[in-house]
Amino acid sequence: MNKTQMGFLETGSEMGQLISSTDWSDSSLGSISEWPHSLINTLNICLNSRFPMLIQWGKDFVTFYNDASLKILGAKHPESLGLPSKYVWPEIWHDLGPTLESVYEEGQAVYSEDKFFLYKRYDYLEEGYFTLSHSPIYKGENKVGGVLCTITETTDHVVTERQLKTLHELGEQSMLAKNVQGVCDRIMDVLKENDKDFPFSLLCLVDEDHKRTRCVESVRLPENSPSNPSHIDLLGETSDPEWPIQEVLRSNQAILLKDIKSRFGELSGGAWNQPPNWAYLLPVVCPGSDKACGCLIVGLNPHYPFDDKYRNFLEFAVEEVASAILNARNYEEEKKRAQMLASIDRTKNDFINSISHEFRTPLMLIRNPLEDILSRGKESDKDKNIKIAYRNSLRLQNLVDALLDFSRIEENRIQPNYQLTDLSVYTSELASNFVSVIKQAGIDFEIERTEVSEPVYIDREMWEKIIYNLILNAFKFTFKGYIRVEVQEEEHAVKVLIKDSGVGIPESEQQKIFERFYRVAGTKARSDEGSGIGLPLAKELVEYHKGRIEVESKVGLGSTFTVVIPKGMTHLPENHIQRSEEKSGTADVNMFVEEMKQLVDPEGKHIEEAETAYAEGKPHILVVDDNRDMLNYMCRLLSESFNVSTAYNGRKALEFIELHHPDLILTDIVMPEVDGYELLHHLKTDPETAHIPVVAVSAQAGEKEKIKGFEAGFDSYLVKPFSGRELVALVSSIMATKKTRSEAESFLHELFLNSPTAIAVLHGSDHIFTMANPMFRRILRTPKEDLRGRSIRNTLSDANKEIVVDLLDDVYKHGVPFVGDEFPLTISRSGKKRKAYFNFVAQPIKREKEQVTDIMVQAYEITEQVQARKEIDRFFAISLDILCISDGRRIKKISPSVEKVLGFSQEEMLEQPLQEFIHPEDVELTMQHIEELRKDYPISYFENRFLTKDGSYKWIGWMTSKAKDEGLDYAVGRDITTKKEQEQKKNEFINMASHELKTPMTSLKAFTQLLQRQLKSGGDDKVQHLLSRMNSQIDNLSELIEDLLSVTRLESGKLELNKKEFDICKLVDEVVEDLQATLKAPGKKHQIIVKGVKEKKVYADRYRIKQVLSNFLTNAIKYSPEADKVIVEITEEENSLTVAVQDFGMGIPKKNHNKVFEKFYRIHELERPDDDFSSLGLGLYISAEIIRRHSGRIWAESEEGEGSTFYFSIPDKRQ
Amino acid sequence: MKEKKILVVDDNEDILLATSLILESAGYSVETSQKLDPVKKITPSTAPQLILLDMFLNGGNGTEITRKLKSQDSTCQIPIILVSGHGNVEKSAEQCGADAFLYKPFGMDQLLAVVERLIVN
Repeated sequence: MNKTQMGFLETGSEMGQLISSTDWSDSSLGSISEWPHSLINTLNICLNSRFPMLIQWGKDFVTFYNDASLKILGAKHPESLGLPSKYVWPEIWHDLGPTLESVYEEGQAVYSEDKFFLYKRYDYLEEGYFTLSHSPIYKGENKVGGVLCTITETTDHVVTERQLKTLHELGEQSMLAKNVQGVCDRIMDVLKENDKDFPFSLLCLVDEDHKRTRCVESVRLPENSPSNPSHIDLLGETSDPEWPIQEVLRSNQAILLKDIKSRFGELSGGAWNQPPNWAYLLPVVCPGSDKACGCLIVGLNPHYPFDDKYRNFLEFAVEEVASAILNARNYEEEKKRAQMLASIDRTKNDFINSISHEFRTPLMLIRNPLEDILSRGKESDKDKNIKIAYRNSLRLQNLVDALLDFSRIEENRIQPNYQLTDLSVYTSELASNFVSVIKQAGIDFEIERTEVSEPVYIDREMWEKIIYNLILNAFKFTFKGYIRVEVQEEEHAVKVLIKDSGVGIPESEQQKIFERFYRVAGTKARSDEGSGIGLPLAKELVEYHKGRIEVESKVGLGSTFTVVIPKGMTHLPENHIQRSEEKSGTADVNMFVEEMKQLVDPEGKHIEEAETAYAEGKPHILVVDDNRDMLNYMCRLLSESFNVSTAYNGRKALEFIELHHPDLILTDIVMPEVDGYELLHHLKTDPETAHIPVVAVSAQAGEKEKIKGFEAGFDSYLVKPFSGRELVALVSSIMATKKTRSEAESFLHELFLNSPTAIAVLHGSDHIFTMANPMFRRILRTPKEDLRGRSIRNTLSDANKEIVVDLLDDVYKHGVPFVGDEFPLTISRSGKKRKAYFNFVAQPIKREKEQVTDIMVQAYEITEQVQARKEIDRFFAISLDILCISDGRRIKKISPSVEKVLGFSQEEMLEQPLQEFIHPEDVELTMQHIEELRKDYPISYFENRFLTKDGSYKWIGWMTSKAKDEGLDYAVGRDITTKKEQEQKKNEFINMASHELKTPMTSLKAFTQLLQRQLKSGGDDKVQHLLSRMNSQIDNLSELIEDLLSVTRLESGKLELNKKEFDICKLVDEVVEDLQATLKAPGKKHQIIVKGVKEKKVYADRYRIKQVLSNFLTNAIKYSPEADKVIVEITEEENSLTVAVQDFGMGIPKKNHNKVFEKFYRIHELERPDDDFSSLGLGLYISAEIIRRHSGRIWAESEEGEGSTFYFSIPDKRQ
Repeated sequence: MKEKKILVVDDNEDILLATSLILESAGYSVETSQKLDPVKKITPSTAPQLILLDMFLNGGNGTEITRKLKSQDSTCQIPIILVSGHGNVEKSAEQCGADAFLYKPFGMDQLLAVVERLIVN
């Protein structure tokens, strides 16, 4: 290779020079002149490029590089030139080698972006990112001579992106900050994510007292190790290795801590295998503050130089952390402040509320007595009124004073005036004011005077109030035993003890009693009034002396209040100390004494004027109030119109009520022991007293209190102060209402008790009986028990419990009534379990808004009815005959047997019109029968053809009856088709036979008559007589045949009427004439007499009516052989005509009057089996059928031995 | 005076005999037949004064021929008495236009009364 070819090495590049100055002759490549063209060419490009490039030549990948690559090679230059690549980059050869090999072998270029290498540029392994292109360098055909590598380092870019992401996420936390702990959690979560820049981290916050730091969160540090302590003391010294946080906080500067390995051992490297040996400690300085509030400790990336970039990044991060913490703190404080403001507000409201109540009672007791004096001026009451007003003005003043004291204390306006005082002497003096009043109450009052060596500085006015209030307090809670005041001296202080043997204070309440308006609930006390202000005031006043007040107490044994006042004056502000002894206190001791007097046993003289003599007829009222004045005042107001009794607290009221039942109770709400609500509860839960109206009289005037009162069950709520007239009017109106109500109530109660329906009222979700009438108790089989107060659950047998309780629960929950129809319950009756049925309603009663409070249950036992119906149902089910109930037109109920008989199912028949099932030819007949039922015939039988499912008809014989009041027809139908068919055949036969008989009869009759006529002339009387008998027998015979025919026609329904209008009188004459002719024969003597109407048109079948007439007349003659006349009478009525045929024969026994019209009935058949009477017994039956088909009536009247009259009557007009 | 001729039709020989005896005894001349043929063949010139006809004959229905005779101008004047032993046929006898109806068995007087009434009219 000549020099010119190598000219590119001489262009002034550092690497060109180095290559040309290097002696390559011992290398694997040989001297430069021997290098292949492809290498030379590539080198030429490479060395001239400003872009970092490497050439790795040959299978050892001998390394060449250009000037631009020097930065990437770092300390590897210049030794790397000409070295095989695996010696240049041993630390990454495991990664780089295979890439080079594959390019070399396969001749394919490889490209990788931002490829990560832990790469030793200098003396340590460095985190580096590179975008690389490895391309083959061909020497000759298809032969790769080496690899050309083009490199861009992207480390900065990758790291910056990562760090920006972390900063961004930290920034987000500060927006979400709600509380400090929460925000720290989240900050550290972000740091944990970035395990490359923060191999480990620890966040410490300085406590509020600045005495130590709390390590709030750590990432990848072992728990409870020196590297991750729970806190770090800022004041003390420890020998344990520690993070130098104090230093950071003090200097407000970040510290780079090297060699942490020797301090804490190996710590976590996060993403790195190598533990960090450096840590950076950054102060967390909240914006707007110049003092660090904490410290962030970060383990440093061991593979990255700790340069300005890394440091800046950490500083940015800690700024984000600080601002997130600050935001959280601000948020927390804001919230706390808001809560505090709300709480202050509430306290103030409570205070104003309470104090106003306190004012009301005395104010009213001043105002009302004064009003009384002004308006009525009853002399005898005047003194009392003035006394009450005076007493209450003192009380009011006491309250106002206390209030003022508080307000001054609160605003710091109090000007104490400390004077040197012998506490023992002064305290005794103050206490002695109470000796007489306390002794009056029967309590020992001891004042123990002890010599005190040294006077102390006190404000005497304050001291008075302290002592008075403590004694008053002791008095309120002490009912027997003693109250003792002691003074004791200690080295630095004087102690005053006020001991009592009163009710004591539970431990849980002992601190609260010094809170304003706190009252120990439910304790026995003389009065609740005014308390709640004395002790807190005393406490505040003691604190002005830099002393303290304490209480020791055991419930039931008593309490000791101790006031400790320090000796000397150094603890007091100089300017308030008065050295000379000037004035004593000004507090009005009378006020306290008066108040105590009020508290003294009220059953004594204070009630003297209250109760009046009991007067008959006046309503009785009980007044309950713990304020004596109030009690007296109300008593006096009411005693004119009512009998008044008093009780000075709830317990006394209950004792009273056990003995008497007043008509009305007026009660205060706030009272010691048993308060108004408790009293009310007792009254309303006892059924004996639940009806007594109770009126609350209270100083609690707010809307809320009133509502609470009404909700609790007070009948009315009177707010103090009230005027006298208001009270009297209210009580009078309640009494009036009560009177009417009690009358109505007792009436209702009576109804309830005697109701035949079982009624019960169940209260609450447990369904407790509040009422159950005797009928209800009978159902439950507990007639004697008072169920009230018991749950229905416990009164039911197991068999019924679940189902009944479930449904009651449902009614209670949803407020929807439950209606049980024929509800089955198992009930034991005379020892046996039986099913009983009830109709009942469970009706929810809503007393308050939408909530069900009670359920009224009404039940009616219907077991018998259900039983009866079931019996009928069973008959219906098993009957082979068709049982059918209809309303005359439609089928209402039908037995399943119908399906067997007719093929129709029950459903197909129900509610269908009857007519549709009846053969058209039988409809009229059927309707006639139904019509007859309507006319009082109890039972009727008829037969008709009924449609079957296949369209044919079946004969059904019906027995029917009618329930007139229900409008229902009951019918039992039997399939008589077979019988009918047989009958039909028989009838056809008879029909045929009789017809066949008639033909010879016709000739026979004609011949007989002809013979008779011919012989007439011959004059043989004997033969003549025989022929006449023969003729008459032929007539009999044809009559019999005709009867038979008629019957068969009737029964096969073939008797058709041929109705026309004709004169019935003429018909009668005709029949009589015909008959009379036959009676001319010897031995026949009957005369037929026709009476009555002479002309009467009727619309009927002439032939059939004639048949009836003949029958009647023939019978009349036949059955009166001894008589000589028969009378026919025709009478006319409105719309009808009656024909009567009277004979004077033997008559018919009464019992047979109706039987004569039955088929085959024969009169006297046994008595007179005479030929003369022989007949088929069909005549009257046929007559009856004919008349019936004319919608007429047929009947007989008869007296045995005197004769009979047969009647028929038919309508005279076409219908 | 013209001869009063009566045509009697019945499928029973005995009845024919008895009826003609009765009618002849009253002075009528009687022609009898067991079949309907003579009735069917009636012309104005051969017409009898009256026809006594059994309603149900083997050879045909008495009501039908009655209705036919009554519907023809030439024969509608001839009185017709229908006779039957069956019950409940009175109505159909009237409907077909017969002048009278007799149930079997009828009496001598009864028959003569009806015949006399119809011929006189």
